[in-house]
Order: sequence, then structure tokens, then C-alpha cells
Amino acid sequence: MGLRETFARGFAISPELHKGLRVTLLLALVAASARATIPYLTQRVTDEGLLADSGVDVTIVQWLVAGGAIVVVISMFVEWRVRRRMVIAAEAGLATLRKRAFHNVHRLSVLTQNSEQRGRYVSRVTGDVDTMRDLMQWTGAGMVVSALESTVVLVVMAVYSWQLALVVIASYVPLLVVTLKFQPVIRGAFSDIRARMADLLGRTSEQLVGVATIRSYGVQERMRSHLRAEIAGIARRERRASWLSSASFSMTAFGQSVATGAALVAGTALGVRGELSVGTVAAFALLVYMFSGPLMWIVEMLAEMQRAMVGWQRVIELVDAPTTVAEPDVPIPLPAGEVGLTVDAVRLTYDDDDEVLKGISLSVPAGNRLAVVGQTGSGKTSLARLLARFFDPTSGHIRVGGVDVRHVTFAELRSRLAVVPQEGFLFEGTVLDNLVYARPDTDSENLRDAAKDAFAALGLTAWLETTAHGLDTQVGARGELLSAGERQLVSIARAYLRDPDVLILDEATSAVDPATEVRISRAMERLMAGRTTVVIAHRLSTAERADLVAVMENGELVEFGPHGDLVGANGPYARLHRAWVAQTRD
Amino acid sequence: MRRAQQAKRAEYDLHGSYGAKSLQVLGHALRTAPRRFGVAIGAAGVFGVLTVVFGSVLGLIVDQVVIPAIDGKPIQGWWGERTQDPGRAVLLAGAVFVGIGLVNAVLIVIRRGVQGGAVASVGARHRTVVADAIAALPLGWHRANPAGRMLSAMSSDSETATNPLQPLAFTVGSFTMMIAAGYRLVNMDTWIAITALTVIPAILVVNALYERVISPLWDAGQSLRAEVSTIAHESFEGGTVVKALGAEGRESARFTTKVDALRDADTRVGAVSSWFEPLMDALVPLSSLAIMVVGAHRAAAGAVSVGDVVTAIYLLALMAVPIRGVGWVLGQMPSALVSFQRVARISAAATEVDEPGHVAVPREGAGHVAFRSAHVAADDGDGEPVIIVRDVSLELQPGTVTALVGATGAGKTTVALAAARLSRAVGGEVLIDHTDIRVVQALGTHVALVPQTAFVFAGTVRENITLGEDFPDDEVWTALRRAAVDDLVHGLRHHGEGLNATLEERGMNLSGGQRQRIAIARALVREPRVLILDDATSAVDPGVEQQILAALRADGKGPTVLLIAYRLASIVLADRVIHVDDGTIVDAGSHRELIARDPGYRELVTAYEVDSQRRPDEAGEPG
Repeated sequence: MGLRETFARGFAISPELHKGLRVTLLLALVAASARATIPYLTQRVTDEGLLADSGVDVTIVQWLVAGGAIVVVISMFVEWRVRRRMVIAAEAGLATLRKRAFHNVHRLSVLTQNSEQRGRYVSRVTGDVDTMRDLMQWTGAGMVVSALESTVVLVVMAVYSWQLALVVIASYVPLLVVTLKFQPVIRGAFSDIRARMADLLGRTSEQLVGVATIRSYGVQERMRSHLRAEIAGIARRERRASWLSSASFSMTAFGQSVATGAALVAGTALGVRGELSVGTVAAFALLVYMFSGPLMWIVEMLAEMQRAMVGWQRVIELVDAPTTVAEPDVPIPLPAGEVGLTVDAVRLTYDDDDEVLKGISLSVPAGNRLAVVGQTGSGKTSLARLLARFFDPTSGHIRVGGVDVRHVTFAELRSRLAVVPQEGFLFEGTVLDNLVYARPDTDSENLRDAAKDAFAALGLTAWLETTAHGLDTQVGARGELLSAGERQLVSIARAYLRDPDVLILDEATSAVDPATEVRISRAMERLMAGRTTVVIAHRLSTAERADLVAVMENGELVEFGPHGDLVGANGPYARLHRAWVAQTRD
Repeated sequence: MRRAQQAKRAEYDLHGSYGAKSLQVLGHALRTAPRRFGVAIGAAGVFGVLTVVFGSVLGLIVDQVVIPAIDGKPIQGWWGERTQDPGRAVLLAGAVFVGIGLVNAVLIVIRRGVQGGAVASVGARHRTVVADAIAALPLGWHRANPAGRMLSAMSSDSETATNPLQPLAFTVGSFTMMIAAGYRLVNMDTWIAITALTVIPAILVVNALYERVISPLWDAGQSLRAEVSTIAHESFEGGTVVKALGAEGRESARFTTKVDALRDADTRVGAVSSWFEPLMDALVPLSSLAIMVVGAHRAAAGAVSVGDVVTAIYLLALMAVPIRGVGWVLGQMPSALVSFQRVARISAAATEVDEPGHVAVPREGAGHVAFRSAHVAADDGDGEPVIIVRDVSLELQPGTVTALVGATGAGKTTVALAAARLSRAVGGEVLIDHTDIRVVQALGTHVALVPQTAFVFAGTVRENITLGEDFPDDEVWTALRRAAVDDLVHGLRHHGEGLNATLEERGMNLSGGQRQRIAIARALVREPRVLILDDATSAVDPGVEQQILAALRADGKGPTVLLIAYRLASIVLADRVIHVDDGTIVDAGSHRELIARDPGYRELVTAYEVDSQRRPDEAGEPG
């Protein structure tokens, strides 16, 4: 993405950035012009006041100084307004950018989400946006005013002598061209730093999870050395970027000398021919200085801008990341009432890896319960995720009530079909806050009543009473103030409140304390009653109680039918079952 | 090591007034990269001198070459000695000019390049302190603080803390310029000097006001920044659940609330800094205007010459550069100080010592563990430790398996952590082979703890098992086999095969049970004398769990095992069971004994049995 595209796309995403920009630029022009007059006033004080023919003229000095003071104060106020306007616009625009990027992360398929370290997404909506903020708040205003100041001075130069103005421009051009050529290299260096930074944050969050292990095995130093290597790599790249940007900055400083020298040589030549006065040539030395000062700032800020551009691009990329699992163009409504599920010749390949599902076909009549069993890696979890449309199959169809899920809106699909994932993930807040997710439209008092009814229906009232504050108990980040089993209970209640027609359950594999275990299985039974259910079973006791059992092996459906039939068939399922019976009945 | 840690804490310890703290932050930077800052400041000093030379040479050229050339008069001075041809003289002058420019440009590259390197070193230092703190913070601290706090210390805070350093070399280097100019002003005329130098206290006053207003605003902004980061973290982590619930809209709304709050906070910061910058910009021009008036009066009174006044204005313009630099340093200081202290707080809480022990315990056979009236506390690093487990006495005989049983929150994990020196006994003692655990050297070679949440990082299987230590491949395979995960590893084909296959971040390409088995293999490869399984097999298939536990004691050379588990079948495997409730030991003995005499225990463990008998009845099918 080039600079132009970045700006165009960035402005389109955050219209706040260019709203009122014209007024801001106009004000900046006023501030720049005011700044440019101050050296001019100094000149007049010297010539007309201090060096007046009749000796020092205090009155003229005072009048001119008063005028100068007014200009300085006005320019200060105008610049204050310019900066304020830019800050407000920038903050509003960046907030929008953050929100858009955040929103799109959740629109990406689970597959895409899993393919990138989650910490990297976080660094895009935080750190990368912040680099933009630095540009907008600190550098942006200065750059605009400086650019205008240089322009004003350039106009003044052209009025004095267009020939000398041309000479000045001509002596800057090659250096500016080189400087601009440099910019992509600098941008590359900054982009490298941002990418490394994301790696560092990814590594750090990994280690935060593993602290107990790291300490227990006494490998602190080794783990630190991983991070230190990343940190040193970042510092090395920062140094490189610093050399590059200072080389680019020095180029403009050098340009100032070249331009002044060239103006003197050309001015003298013109003066000798009588085309310029001594005063004009001398004035040019000052004008070049006034012209190049802000110009140096611009180049300086350009480097800063490269840094921000990199951040901006990274966020824009995320906003624009294609969502492969998309809403249908022409949605088809699901039939009312109970619906069944059909899996039709479904194949699935992740990226370029091996095929995970190799042509699965089965159907679950409305109101029936299907248990899917199989080893880890047999494809049963992938199948569950396809049923929930976390992503789409490579080929084949998933149908709910006879309608391909790709033709159903997400809103309808999620309201008719609920998923209870293996790990009961909760959001920070209270138990009740977590239930709101099931019924976003219900007001809080009705929800409280509905929640109590749900816990009662699931046989969980007694459990709820043992918690510190019932529905108002804080669950902590990721629900970690509750035990794994308790988190599971809340997520069952959440699914119950949703009252779906179809349930996809990924049975928890984690053992929890026995009392909670009993509550979970009882609540699960009640949740599943009367609904079309697919349960990814890790316990054969669950499979025993299902209407249908599907046995998966290496991405293939090897057996499918009622539990009793399969036990009698003497196939893989019967073998599994015999082993299980022997184990639990000893 | 302890002394090194104290030194590290002292390094980040700020004290005194705001001004004193600011100086300490700058001092910290200079100490961190003394050579680089030295070179940069030197180059800046030379650059300052050259700036003065540049101005003088320009004046000389105009007076001695340009004016005579145009007026048709003889070229004067140094140039006149070399040539009287106006064309050649002016070219010579131009060449000198370009030459100075070239030297200047080189100095700029050196000053800024080295300066940038120095700042990178300081930033790296902050990051390293945060990185080093991860394993040195008490486990309780990690539980009490969101990951966002560490992550933003590593990124945003480490960066912000270095912001005032960017113009540091330039500012300090050009102090030479300022001091020279100030000296000349004082010698010239007292009134003019007073007028010119008023700008310095004015800057200090404006800065003090600015600091007072902006610091709390900035602090509030940084806290919100960490909160935004925390929400994003939580929400992306739970991405699958968000999708499952169709809660994307709700999550966006939640994020929006915080982002809007951050926007408002940042806008407030920006609103304040948007008057600070122009005000600082205006101070020097206002002051030079004042010099004109005072100078005009003094010149009219005959106290100074007109030339002096012109020079004074020029000198102030020279002083303006470092003054502005001071303004930048000071302007960035409030936010930098806030960020520096955020890093400092993490560093201060990192009190755990990597290897506190000095008493070598022989590595012979299985280990003996004893708790003698131990009170064990959880420490979140910020406040006083809270005692979780009281007056616990227990003994693990070498080679035995002991199960710790109790309801959630009974204190089982705290006991387990204490046996691995990961939480602290604040009363009584914990002994390994009759030696106080606090002084045991290289405890990690004796005791291995496997926590419930398996730590799997992006890297090869081998790296995940060895954690970078030297274990031959056959030992790694043996450990994998004992953890019943060798078949899985044999089948892995992900950027490599077998031990070279890559596991993804947090082991995303493995199931929960597989991750736990990898973690167990990591413990077994170390052949620990004491193995602590803190609910470390919860996601493992029950059959496999039995197989692993049985294998541990099969050859009679296995470690002493402390087991926290919920499955009855696993508990039954233990030689001894300790029943913990509400932070104390209720009873200890064999499973049979406890079933017979401890009603609480009976209730706890039979719940599972009751459930597995009940299920088939409910389903109405024979078991």
C-alpha cells in the first residue's frame, strides 16, 4: 500500500480526520504567515528604529514592538486553535479506526483468527494506532504549519527575485529527491520494528501464561534470554532506523548550505550585472535560512510520519482483511419449529495441510441427539465447528432445516443454533453480565428473573446460592475467579437462556470436582431435552444416551447408527465400548 | 543474585520532588548508555559552535565579498588575499559555505544517529527490566494483574519513557552556545541581560504549570490505554465464544465504551499540550521584542551601542535553540515520568529470587517432603501476603503417591505451590530431604511441578520439552513415552517431523489433554525426585491418565508424587490421601480409612461414583 492509498483508505475509514480540515488548514496558514512576519518586523525595528538617521527612535521601536507582540500573541492563539482542532479530529478518527479494526477481528473466521497470534491483533488495535496518535498530536500540526511557513517564505523570495528563488529551489531539488527516495527505506525499517514488536508481545504473553512452569524448572534465565534476544533485535533495528532518518535529515541541513551558497553566487553575479541590489542579496541569505528551517522540520517529521504510516497501514490491513465466512447476499429464512441437521459430502482442508474431513455425510432428524466419538485428531471438533459455521467446508453442504447454512443470516443462525464450547469462557463482569450475551434485547430486571428461572430449570439454584453474590458474583478476567466447572455451569445457563432449536455441544474433557461434575451432567441433560443436539462426546456414557452415534477416524465417518446397533456390530465402537465398560466397572 | 536484584530495584527507584525525579530519569538514561550519549553530546557541542561560525561566515562573506563585488570595490579580508576576481572570489566563498555545510551535515548524522542509538539502548533497558520481571514477580501478582499491564509496560510505557531523551544530546550540547551567549549578555548590559534571561524562569514557570495539569490527565489516559488493551485481549482470546453467542455486536459495544473514554482522556491531554507548545514557541520572540524596547531605551540613554542591541537580539536567537530543546525535554517529561514509574512499579514488585538456595541436597532416589506447622501465604507483590493455608503438617515418604483431595478453594494448589517453593511459608517450615526448602540449591532438579494450565509455546516439540536444556533425544523420547504422548509426536508434521515439529502459540494445534501430556513429559525428562501434579491430568483421557500414573511407579524407582486430582480412579491409586478443607488438613490416611471415618471426604468422592451409576439408569439402558 503506497502513501496515497494509505491516506485515501485511512480517511475513508475515519472521516473525522478530514472533517473541518479545510478550516484547520486555513488557520494554519494564518499562523504560518504570522510567524513569517516576525523576522520581517525585527528587520524593520533595526533599520527604522535603532539605526534611524536621527539616532535611536524609541517611539518607532515601541510601536513596532507593540505590533510585533500582537502578531506573536495572535499567532500563538491561532496555533493553539489549529493544534486543538487537529487533536480533536485525530482522536475521534483514531477511535473510529480502533473500533473498525476490533469489529473486523470478530468477523474473521475462527480459522483466520487462530492462524494469527491473538496478541498481534491486540497490538494492532493498541500500539499501532498509538503511533498514529503521536503523529497527529505532536508532529502533524507542526508539520502543516511548517510546510505553510516555508511556502509563505518561498512566495516572499519570488517577489524579491524570481531568479534567485529558482536558484534556491534548484539547489534543494536534488537533495529533496534523494531524501524522498530514502523515505520508503525508512518506512521499511520502521515496519520491521513494528513487526518485531508484535513478536515480542506475543512471546511475552506466552511466558506470562507459563510463569509457574518457568519458575518450577528454574529456566528463568533461558526464558529471559529469549525475550532479551527479541529486545536486542528491536534495539538494533531502531538504531538502523535512526541512522537512516538522521542521514535523511542531514541532507536537508546540507541543502541549506548549498542553497545559501548558490544564492550568494548567483545573487552576486546578478548584482554585478546590476540586476539586483546588495540589500536583496543580503536579504536572501536570511530568507533561505527562514525557508530551510521549517523545511528541516518537515523532513524530520516525515521520518516520524513513516513510523506512523506503518502503524496506520497495519490497522487498515486489519480493517480490510477479507471475511471469507460472509453473510449471504440473498438470505433464506429457516423453517419455523423444530429443525434437523444434514451433513452432505463435506470435505475440509486447512490451508495446504492434509484433508481433515474426507467426505462426511450424515443427518440428524429434528429433536434427535447425535453423539460424535473419535480420537483427538479424528476430525470431530472440526465437524462441530462447521455445523456452527465458524468456517465453511472446502466442499459439500451443511444444512439446517434443509437450508444451506451459507444462505442463513448470522443473526438467525446464532439465535436458532447455540454452541457450548469445551472451555467455559466467561467475560469479565458478573454472572448476570455474562448471561446478557444470551438475551441482548431483554432489560436487566426481566433478565434477572429469566436467569433465576433458568438456573432453577437446570437444577442449579443450590449452586448459585453457594456463590458469593449469586447472579452478581464477579467472575474475573476470562471467568478465572470461578473454577473450570463453575464456568461451564454459567455457559450452560447462557445457552439455556438463548433457547435454541439446535445445540452443538463440545463436551468438556477436563475433570472437575465431583460435586460440580454431577451438576454439570444434570444441567446438560436438561439443556438438551427436546432439542436437536450434536454432542462431541469424550465420555462413552454420553454416547450411550444419544439417539445416534457417529464414530470418526482420521477424518472419515467409520460407523453411524443407534448405540445399541453399533455395540452389536462388533466394529470399532463396540471395541471402544467394551474397553470402557471394563475400566469403569472394575 | 539477591544483591543484583536490589541494585536493579535501586536503579528504578525515584525519590524527591518532581524536578528531582525528572533529573533522575535523565541520569538513568545517561548511565544506561554513557558512551553513546557522550558522543552525541560532543557532536552536538561542536555543531553548536559551527552554528555560530556559520552565522559569522555569512556576515563576513556579505561584507567582504558580495558588497564589494557588486559595488565594484576590491575584495577584502581572507578572500581578497587569494583573489581579486569577483567571480572567483564569490565561487570560493560559496565553496567554503558548502564545505561548512558538509561538516555540519556529517555532525548531524553523528549526533542524531548516535543519539537514536542511545535512546534505543534506554528503551531496550526498560523492556529488559520488564522481561526480567516476568519470572521474578510472585505468582499472586500475575493473578491480581491483567496481562495488559505487562504488555503495555513492554510496549507503550517503555517507549513513552524515552521520549524526552530524543532531543537530550542536542539540548545539552548546545548549552555551550547558551552559556556563551548568556555570558556575553551579562557583560554587555545588566538591563538587557535581565530582560533576555527572564525567559528562563518564564519557561520554568510555564513548565511547572503544565506538569501539574497534564500529569494526572496523562496517568488517567495510560490507565485507560491498559484497559483497552485488556478488553481487546480478553475479547480476541474468547473469539470463538463471541462467535458462538453471536455476541460480536455486544463486544464491539463494550470495546467502544472504553475506546471512547480513552479518546476523551487523550483529547484532554491533547487540549492541554496544544496550548503548551505554542506558548513555548511564543516566549522567545516575545522576549526578543522586549529586548528591542529595553535596548532602544538603553541605546538612547547612551549605555550601549546600537550594535550591542542587534547583537543581543542575535544572541537571544542563538539561545532560543537550546531553550526550545529544554522545552521539548520538559514537555515530554510528565508523561515519561508516569511511564517510567509504571515500569518501576513492576520492577519493585519483582521480588522473587531465581535461585535463593545454597545447600546442596544429594540427588539420590526419591525425595522426602515434609510440612511442619506451615502457614502458606499468597503474595500479589503489591500488599501484605495473605495467609491461605494454616498450620499444615504432612509428610510424603520417598517413592509414595499422595493425593490431595478437597473442594475448589480448599487450598490444595497453595500447598502444591509451597512444595515447589512457588508460594512462601510465612510460619512453620517446608522441608525437602529434611532441609529447609528455602535454602535448597537448584530445587528445579529435585522438584517438578506440572500446573493445570499447560504451558506450551511456539517452538519445536524438543524445545517445549527441554526448555533449552541439554537432554539427548532418546531421553526426550522416553519422557514422551512415559507421558503417553509419543505416538502423537511421531505423527506430527508441522514445519518438521517428530521432535522437530513445531507447536503453535499456546499449543493451539493440540487438544487440552495433549497439551497436559506434553507438560508432564517436560517434567519427567528432568527425572525429578518429587513430582507435583496440580490437576495436571484433568483434560487427559481417564484411561491414559491411569496408564501414566501406573507407569510412574511401575519400576519402583519413580519419584515421590503429590497428586491433585478429581477422578476417583486416580485417587484410589494413591498410597495416602490427604483431605483438605478451608485451608487446613481435615484428615489423612488411606482411601479406605478416610471413606470409613471422614464423612466430608466420603461425600466428596462418592459424588462421582453416584453419578456414574446414575447415568445408565437415567438413560434406561443396561450398562
